Amino acid sequence: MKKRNWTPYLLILPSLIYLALFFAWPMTRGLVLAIWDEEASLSLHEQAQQNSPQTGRLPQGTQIGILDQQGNFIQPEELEEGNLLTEVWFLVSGEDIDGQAVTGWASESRIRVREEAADGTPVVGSVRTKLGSDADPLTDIYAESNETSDVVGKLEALTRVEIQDLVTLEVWYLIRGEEEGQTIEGWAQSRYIQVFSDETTGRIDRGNTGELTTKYIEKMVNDRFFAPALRTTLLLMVIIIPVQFVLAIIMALVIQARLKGNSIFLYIFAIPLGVADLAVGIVWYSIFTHFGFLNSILQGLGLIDAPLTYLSADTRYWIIVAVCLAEIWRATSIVMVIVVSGLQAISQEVLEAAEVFGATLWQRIRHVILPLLRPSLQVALILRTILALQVFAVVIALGGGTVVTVLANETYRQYGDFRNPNVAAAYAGLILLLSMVSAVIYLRTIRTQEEAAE
Amino acid sequence: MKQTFALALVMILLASLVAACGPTEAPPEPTAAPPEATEAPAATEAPEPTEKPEEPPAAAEVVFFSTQFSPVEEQEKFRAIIQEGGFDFTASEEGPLIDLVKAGKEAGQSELDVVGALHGTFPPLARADAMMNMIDVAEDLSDDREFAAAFLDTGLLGTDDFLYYVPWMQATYIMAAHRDALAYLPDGADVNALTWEQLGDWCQNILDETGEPKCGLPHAGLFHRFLEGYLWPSFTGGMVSNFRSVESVDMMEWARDTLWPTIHPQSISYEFMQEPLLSGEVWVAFDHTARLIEAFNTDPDNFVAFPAPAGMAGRGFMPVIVGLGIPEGAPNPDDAKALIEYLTRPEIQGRVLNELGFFPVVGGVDFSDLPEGIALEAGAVTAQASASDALPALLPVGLGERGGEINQIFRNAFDRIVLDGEDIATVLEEEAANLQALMDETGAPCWAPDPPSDGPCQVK
Repeated sequence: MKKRNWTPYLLILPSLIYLALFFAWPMTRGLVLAIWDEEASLSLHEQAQQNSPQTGRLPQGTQIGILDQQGNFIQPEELEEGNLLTEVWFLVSGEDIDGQAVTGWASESRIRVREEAADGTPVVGSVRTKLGSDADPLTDIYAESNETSDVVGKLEALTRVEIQDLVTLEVWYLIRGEEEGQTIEGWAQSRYIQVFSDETTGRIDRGNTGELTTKYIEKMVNDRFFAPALRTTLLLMVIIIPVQFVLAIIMALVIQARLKGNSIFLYIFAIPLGVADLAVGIVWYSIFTHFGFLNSILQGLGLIDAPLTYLSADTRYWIIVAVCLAEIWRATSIVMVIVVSGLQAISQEVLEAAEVFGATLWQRIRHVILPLLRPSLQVALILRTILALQVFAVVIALGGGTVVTVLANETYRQYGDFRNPNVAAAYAGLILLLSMVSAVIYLRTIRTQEEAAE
Repeated sequence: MKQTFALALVMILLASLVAACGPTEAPPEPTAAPPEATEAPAATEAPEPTEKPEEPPAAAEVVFFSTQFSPVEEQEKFRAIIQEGGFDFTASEEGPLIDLVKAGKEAGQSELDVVGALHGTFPPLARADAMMNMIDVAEDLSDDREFAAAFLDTGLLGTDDFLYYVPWMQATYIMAAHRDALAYLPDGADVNALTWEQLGDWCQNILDETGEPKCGLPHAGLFHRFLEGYLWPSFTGGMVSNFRSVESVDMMEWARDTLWPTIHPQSISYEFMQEPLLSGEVWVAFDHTARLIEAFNTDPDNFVAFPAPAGMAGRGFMPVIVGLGIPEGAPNPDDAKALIEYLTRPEIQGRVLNELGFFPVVGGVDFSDLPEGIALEAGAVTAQASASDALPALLPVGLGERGGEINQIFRNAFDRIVLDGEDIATVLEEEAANLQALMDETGAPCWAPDPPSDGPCQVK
């Protein structure tokens, strides 16, 4: 039996791990945000215990009635288990305004610990000042460690109290709500419930069970800026890419012609490759702005009397023109580099043969060079289209990002301004989808000769 | 030979992979003690003094991130003030700051000691349970200084006992006008007690007599506050509940047919009104005090500051509150408290007002020696807040991390009606549905000037 060579597999393993860890996993996690509502519904339990059977689920936002509440005592070792939302109650004793001794329970949020025993147990505290302007300035002291028990006394702010005991509670509510005509009743932890001021009604503030949803995608599509963003992105692609390819092929042919000072051209053409896109945006902004280079040149030549305003909401087409120019200037050279390498791969003999048979320059380009360039053009097209879908910094620099907007900018706005990662993920997914679809279309339509022969 | 080389390559790649993962795993090991100390308060809501002895010595530097004072000039002025107290700060954008604090919460160890940000930045942090309760800090500070009670109230974010931030500074939005514009005031109008109708007439007079629209609004800036905190409350008495009332239909008609035609068309790209005011492009403008201050400071003799106009329901205005909070698990909570103490000293608050134009939140600040520009603003701010028909409109509370969406709803309503010419009733209907959905999804109860509600605020 032939000995299997494992080296290639060993070599590929780290890159696979790398891809999975730093690319596929975060990307999947990110895209899942667009279709998965993490807090869609709340599971209710038969008893106020995590492990008791479930009675049903209520969707987030349901209005509910609160029937009962229960505080489960939590042992210190259970605290370590995490994911518990607990409140601490102190058994305190102090003197009220009339000098009467009051002993009872108060929530930790009302008592500030001032002194502790050596083992960290609080022993002395003071009543906290109430901040709310319409709040009762006195603090209620309860007979038991919950707010539904009897009030045994009231203490003034800053009263010194002895802390005799403390308990840690996890509060559960027995709630009832309707879901599709069915009444569902069960226990849920306090953190999921928003209690209204009458203490008997409330709503489900957040769920603990996720489900698939299209609401983020709907929100994206119904957004006022969705259609303009998609339109502008596609418009920019349709204008920029053909112009860039024509320019890049001409530039590549110029370099390939091996004129004098050939390498200088290459360097000049490649300069924009080294400039960051935001910098490009700012450079072109300084050209098009009210007192920018363009207006000064036009004024200097006497073509206009007063500076024209290009980059404003009333002249959005100028913003698009400026974005196109900046993008063409910035990213044509990357196409050129690919085309130059493709041109160099074309055998000199083929070109000479065409010349010997009397083909004109145009005929040589049309029938010899372009067909042989197909593979590199395909690569360049895919690359450029993906980059065009990502256009962002230039648009921000030139148009501020609200008057003329693109998909990448909307992704950013949803995440940054509206703090809505789900809708941002939906936008990111759309950009990914468009990139993939366009790449597949290019791969199918511009087939190379070898593929066509297969 | 080939295989040994390949193996070596694999080893190198694996090693670099481990190194790349390293930073996320490494921290817990050397600091085995602190996580325990920080976990306990996480479970019991409030920090307990027990962990203090375990904290590193106070020599460590306080890390203070602020979303305020990010322009370079402001940074320099503020840094000079804060460095006198032995502290420093880093200017940060709001989004990255929120991400940083939330990441610290998840890691159990915060990178930041103090966060200085607008009121609206705190709800998402509160929702992530990422902040410490500042109630004891505020109590201690109240011993020798007096905070404006209303601002301590807003720092509670609707809770009873959890103070998310100690108030730091305040600002608001006022009007500014060039003295030349005063000649065109409509008959009987008092610039310090204008109504919105009169403002419309004033702008119309200016347009008629100078041939140019010389009133300006910061449509590319904080224009949403103009809608939420000024127009809607003044005309309808509410922000959310009366969003599509009869009054708001009238208001939008007025805004579209009377006000907007007299507004400078470049308004759509104005971010800060101080620049068009100074260049003379605009004579009458509405903006944030910090975005007008340059005009008052540069040319105090030629500009006047005055309160925003009033509508039928009152003189709606919106205070802006900047707060200081400490993230859960901050490495130097004691120094953080010292920094907060420093920044809320009356004399430091006075210097911030003098040099940066943000108003104090504590009593006892010396107003006697203010620069002229700031004194102008201070007069208008006081007149606005103490007007007999004053109607403070608070910033949204309870929208959590989705606070930005309400701004977009108000902007959409205005832009669709006034700029795109869509039908008023239809637009208000559709945007009211969006607003109601936002309230229902977040469960936000009404806030001032709307009457308090049980459960999500309802659009009538």
